Amino acid sequence: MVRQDAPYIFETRKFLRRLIKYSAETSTRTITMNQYQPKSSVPLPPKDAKVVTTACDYCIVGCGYKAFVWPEGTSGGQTAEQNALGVDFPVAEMSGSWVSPNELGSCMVDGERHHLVVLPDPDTEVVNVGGNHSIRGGCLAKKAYDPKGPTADRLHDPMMRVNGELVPVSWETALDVMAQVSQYVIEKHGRASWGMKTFSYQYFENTYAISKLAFESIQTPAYAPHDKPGPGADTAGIDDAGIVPFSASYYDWSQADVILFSGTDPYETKTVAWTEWMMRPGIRHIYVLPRRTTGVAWAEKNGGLFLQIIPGTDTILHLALARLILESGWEDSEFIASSVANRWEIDSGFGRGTRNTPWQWRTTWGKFGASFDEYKEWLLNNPDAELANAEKVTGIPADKIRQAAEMIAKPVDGKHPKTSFALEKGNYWSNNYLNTASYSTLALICGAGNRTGRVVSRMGGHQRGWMGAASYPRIFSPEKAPGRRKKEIDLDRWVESGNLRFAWVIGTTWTQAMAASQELMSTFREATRGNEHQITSPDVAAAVDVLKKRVDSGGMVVAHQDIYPRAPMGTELADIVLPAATWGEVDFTRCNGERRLRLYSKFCDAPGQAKPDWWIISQFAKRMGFKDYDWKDSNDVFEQAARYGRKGILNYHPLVDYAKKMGVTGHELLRRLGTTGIQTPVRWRSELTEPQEYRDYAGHYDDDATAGAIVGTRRLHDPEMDFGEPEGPTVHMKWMSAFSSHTGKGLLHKTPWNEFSDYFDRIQPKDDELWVTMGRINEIWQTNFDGERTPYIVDRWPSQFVEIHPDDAASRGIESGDQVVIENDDVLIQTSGFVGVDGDDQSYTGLERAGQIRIGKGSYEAVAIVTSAIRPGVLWSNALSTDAPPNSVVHRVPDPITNRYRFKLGKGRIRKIGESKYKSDLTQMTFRPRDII
Amino acid sequence: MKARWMIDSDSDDEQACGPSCVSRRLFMTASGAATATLLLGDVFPGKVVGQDAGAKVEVTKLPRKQIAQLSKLVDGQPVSFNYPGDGDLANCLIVKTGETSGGGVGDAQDIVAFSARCTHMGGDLDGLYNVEHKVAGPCGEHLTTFDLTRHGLVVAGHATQALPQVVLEVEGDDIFGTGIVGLLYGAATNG
Repeated sequence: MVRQDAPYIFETRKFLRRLIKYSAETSTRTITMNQYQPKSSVPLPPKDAKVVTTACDYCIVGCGYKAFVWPEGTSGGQTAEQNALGVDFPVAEMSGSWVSPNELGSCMVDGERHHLVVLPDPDTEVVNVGGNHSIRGGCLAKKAYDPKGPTADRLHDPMMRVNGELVPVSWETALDVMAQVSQYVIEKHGRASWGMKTFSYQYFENTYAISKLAFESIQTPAYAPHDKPGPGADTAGIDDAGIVPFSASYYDWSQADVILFSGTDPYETKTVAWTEWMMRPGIRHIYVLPRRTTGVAWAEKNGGLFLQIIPGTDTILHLALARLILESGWEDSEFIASSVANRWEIDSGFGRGTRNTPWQWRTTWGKFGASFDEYKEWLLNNPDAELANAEKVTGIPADKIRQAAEMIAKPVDGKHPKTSFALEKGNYWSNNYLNTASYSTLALICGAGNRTGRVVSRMGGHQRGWMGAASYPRIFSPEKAPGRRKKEIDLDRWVESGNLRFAWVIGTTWTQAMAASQELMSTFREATRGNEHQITSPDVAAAVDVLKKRVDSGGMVVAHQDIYPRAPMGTELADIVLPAATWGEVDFTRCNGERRLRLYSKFCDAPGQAKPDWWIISQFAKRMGFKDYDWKDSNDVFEQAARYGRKGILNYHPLVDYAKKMGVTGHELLRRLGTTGIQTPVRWRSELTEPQEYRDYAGHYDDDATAGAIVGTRRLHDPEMDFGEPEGPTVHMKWMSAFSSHTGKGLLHKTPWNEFSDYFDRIQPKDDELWVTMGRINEIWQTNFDGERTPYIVDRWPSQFVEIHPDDAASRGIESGDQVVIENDDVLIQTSGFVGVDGDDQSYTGLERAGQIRIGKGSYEAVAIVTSAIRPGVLWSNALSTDAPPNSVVHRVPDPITNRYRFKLGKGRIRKIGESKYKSDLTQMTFRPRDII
Repeated sequence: MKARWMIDSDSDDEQACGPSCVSRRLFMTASGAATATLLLGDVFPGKVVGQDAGAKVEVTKLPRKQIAQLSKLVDGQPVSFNYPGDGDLANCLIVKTGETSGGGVGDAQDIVAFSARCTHMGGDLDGLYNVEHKVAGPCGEHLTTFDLTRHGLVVAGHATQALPQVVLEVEGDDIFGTGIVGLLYGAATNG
């Protein structure tokens, strides 16, 4: 079949009037999206409003919230005695109890429309102390399903594509078709031809069910989480060092003298972690980013530094910083002697094992893993690490690099500064292994990683909601590095090469979130809608029969499970669409970025026949003949999953055990812990010895009638922590009071630039091309799935945008407000190369030599914002705009060491195609810079 | 009906009231407010481009109050005033931005007025105006900024609504406030 040309140019969505054709057979749902109308008043929750605690559905920080629900048409009064908030209105500055109009929404309770207020918990003493919040969480109420509001287009019914249109079918029909086709695919084409692409975070109950199905029951290697092409570590170089990427608590950051932020400004995307715990007098911030943001501007005004880096060159910066520190003798020798592994320790402990798991070969193979002496010798003889080279490669002035080295490591009055290291996707999505390994090594020689104020952690994106029922079956993966080094799959390449026949997609758009997006859409389109075998009857047997023919002819069957119709996966590509229930509609649990476990309480109805993901999985699994999927409710899954997380950092098994002794459910005990929750791993102690302040922060529960108490764990790796003896169900893992390496010590890694340089040289922008990089923006959560249904957010960001430096804009005749297109006709796509045999087979040079790279195209439209905040030669867009995905101009060639994409290293040409209406419209969008301090 | 917090500015019951007294004195606005939904073009006449001509906006109509004089406004120099009452949270700013601004009055349609209380958590924006970018803020609490040429839209930050905008009228040299668009921080109702 001839490859269909990708629709290279997306039409920017017209938000003001959004017409959604829901289905052919139900009445067409028409949703009119008006501009935001400022309000003059809000109803207040009356004294008898139902109140539940929850946490924010969005970013990693997971602020604590309270939801107030009461019947429409009533309102509490303005005195403390007359409302459920117990405060007098108007409230004072910083009270935390003001109900802003966007904290008010409508939802359905037992079929009746109710008022809903979702308010940051003004009484919380952790995370968002006193009711602090971001703009995202502050608009949570607008997320609730309201049949008369912009969320009316929530998926209501299972649907099947019959004669090209999605039509409602029963759960039985949808699941029967899926199960029968799945059984056929697995039997005929093998388990690796049956795959899943799912969120990794949307609550323990759901991810437990997903992983149980994929890894325990089906044992397919064809699985990838929403944000990467396959399972495994996000930041392998941090993990390999022995550092758990979420080891720190928010309190720990507040105790630092200096924080080095790599590839993130948490002000934008981890807002409250930053405003509450990091934006403090006395903490100097250093930012390594190509773009000046609000946090950067604050840093520069408060004694910090901005290292405006050329995308993709962080490793060289880290090496130069480390070299300056070692040349000056500023390393923390005491810490290195006590806490960093020497050669004997690196080599010990493996016995005669094959050392084939990824971390083993990376750490013990002489190319990367090193003792301090080996590392120092390598670094001081490495011309890549010289300051002059670093200035040239990174584009950062040498004096700034020198200042940064002094700030993070130079002892003051004989004492090392307390420096913490925070990283996120700008770091590990541009050069995955080398950036993370060089960053952790820099941190360790500065003495960071296991003490308060001196921590190393990811800031995080989504919350930590993965509770695996079984491990990924790497043994069945089609991929391996040279030798016997099995790797996790690159699922996109598995699709590209025609190996996937059944795809179950849950809670992700997949194509826009992955690299070379439009090319990936084309591949899907060809395998689904482009296949001659299409369902023409809602009859189960007929549908199964035709879908069998499709998979046998090389095509693919797609099921999409989500909360909204999401283009193109759920609207165009899917054969079956399943409606999921979400936040606020079912009791769910998960952890935030400091491992804080909370209950996300149900307070309203899910739309139509929408069901929680775990229920959908269980109904499918039973049809497949799999056992042990008989969960009666969400708590049932939670309690079962507890048994499988006991060795993990999110271990809450002692909480479930304690709840049983109390005679309540696990969910019920967690409900009592409210917005404080409890930091995992949870421990049971016959007698608490932790100071009160520790208990209050980490969370604890002591039931008078039950022996002992449970308490949380504030920080990992700290050798000073005395956890006492492991008692009852408590598990003391080594990484609680030591590093998570096999030695219990931190591991250093060399990071030779030539592991990356062939690829980096190839993707350099040429002629009038510019780097295209991307990130998140404070006002938009993820793909904006709720935000594009929140008029206030739509007014702020009605369109994808691109920031361009005034010099680059002037030479192209581009002004703020102009409509532009960014095009790349040189998108590199790896087509095969699953098995490496010789040393450099999987290097970029090796792949190109073997003909495993094809060149595709991609483009997206945006509204230009001309600003000196962005580095010259670089364009910056919102990463996850689904109707204008910048990933379209990003190469789909993963880091061969870890199979992770270099999302941040796209390129393209930009040209003006007209003027957007926002150039003159004064009611939507603004072109003011974000770095005003 | 007069809300409990709308006490008259001259009533002196500080001695008599409890801890909640302070919060009731935050606005001390005048009574007589009414809410109406009007065309954006009627609220801010002549300042709306074609495609928004039909947009509607909810306005709290308040008694007319003289707040500034045209002849005394200097480009880029905001002037503080209280509106609608004289309470702690009633402080506003009026500024001649120097470029056409949504809802602007004056010959250049560049005079606008807003509440100076951040709609995130009520931080005081008094004196925080960026002349170059025509932006209020950054708020001293959490750094939110607002574009005063675009109806107080959030530029960057956490506020969950635009800055409430004061509806202005010009008569001779006098500038009057006649109402508010957007709920004032701290209040359950503007009027």
